[in-house]
Amino acid sequence: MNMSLIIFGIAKNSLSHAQSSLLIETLYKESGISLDLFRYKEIVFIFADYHEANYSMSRDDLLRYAHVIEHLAKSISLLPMRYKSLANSTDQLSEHAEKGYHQILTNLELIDHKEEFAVRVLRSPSAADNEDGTHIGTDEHQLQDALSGDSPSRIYLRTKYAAFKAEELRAVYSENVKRKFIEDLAPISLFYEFKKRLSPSTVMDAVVLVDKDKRKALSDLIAGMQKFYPQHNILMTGPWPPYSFANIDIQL
Amino acid sequence: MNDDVYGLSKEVTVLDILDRVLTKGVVITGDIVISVADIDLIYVGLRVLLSSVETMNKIKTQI
Repeated sequence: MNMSLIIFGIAKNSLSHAQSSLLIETLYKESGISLDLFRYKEIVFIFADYHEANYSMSRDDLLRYAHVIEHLAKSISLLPMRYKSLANSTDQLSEHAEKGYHQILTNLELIDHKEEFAVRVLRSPSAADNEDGTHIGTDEHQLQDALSGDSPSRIYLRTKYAAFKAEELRAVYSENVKRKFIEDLAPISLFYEFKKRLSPSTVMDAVVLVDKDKRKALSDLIAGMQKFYPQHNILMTGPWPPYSFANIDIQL
Repeated sequence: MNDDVYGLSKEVTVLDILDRVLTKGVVITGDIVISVADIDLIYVGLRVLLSSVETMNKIKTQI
C-alpha cells in the first residue's frame, strides 16, 4: 500500500476483528475519518490516509486529531502519537514497528488500563505577594547593610538581588509542595513527572499516570490539597490519553 | 468553582490539548513528502513544517 498515512496511536494487538470493526465504525460516524489498522506481532498501529483525513496545521485540525485519539483511548489502552506522525506506507510502519518494538511493548505495559491527569498549583493573582510565606517584593532587611545607598548602581543591585531572592524562595516553596504531593500520591501512583520551568504564577505543574480504577482517589487527593493550600488555585485536567508517558522516538 | 477559575480551567484545558498533541506522544521519524497548498514539502520535523506553512501563508497573502 503506497500513500501518506497519519498515525493516531499504537495499541496492543488484542482486539478481536469484531471489536476493531466496531471501534472504527463508531469513530467514522463521529469524526468522518476512516481508520485502518496495521498489525505487527503484538502491536497494532491505528492510522488513516493523510490526504483523505485532510489535516492542516490549524488549531481546529489539531483538536480534531486529539479528539480521535481521546475517543480511541477511552476504548483501548493507547500510546498516542504526536501530531503529524506520518509514514509513507504500511511497509514503513512495519520498519518502525520492528525498530521500536520492545520500547513500544514496554510503554504499552506501563500505560495499560491507566490514564493521565495534569495537576497544577497556581498562585492566586490577588494574593501573589505574600500568599505562601515568601515575600516577593524587595526584602530591605537583608539588603540594608550590603546594598544601602541611593546611587543608580545600588538601586539596580538591590532590585536584581530582590528578584533573585524571590525566585529562590519560590523554587524552595515549589519543591516543598512537590514533595508533599509525591508523598500523598504514593498510595495511588508512582508514575509522575514535573515540568521543570515554571512561570512565577505556577507553584507546581505535574502529570500523573493513574490506574483507571483510582480516578476517584486522585480527585479526593486534589480536593484535600485544595483544603491544605487555600491560598492557591489547584487545577486538575483529565483524563488524558497517556501522552506524557509515551516518550518514544523511533527514527529509521 | 468561581467564574474566574472556571474560565481559566477551560483555557488551560485547550492549551493542554494543543501542548500534548504537538509536543508529547510517540514520534516516528522517516522521510516523507507531503503536499501542503499544492507545494511538496519534505517532512523533517513538526517545527519546520509549522514555520513552512506560516511562511507560505504569508507569501500567499503577499501575492
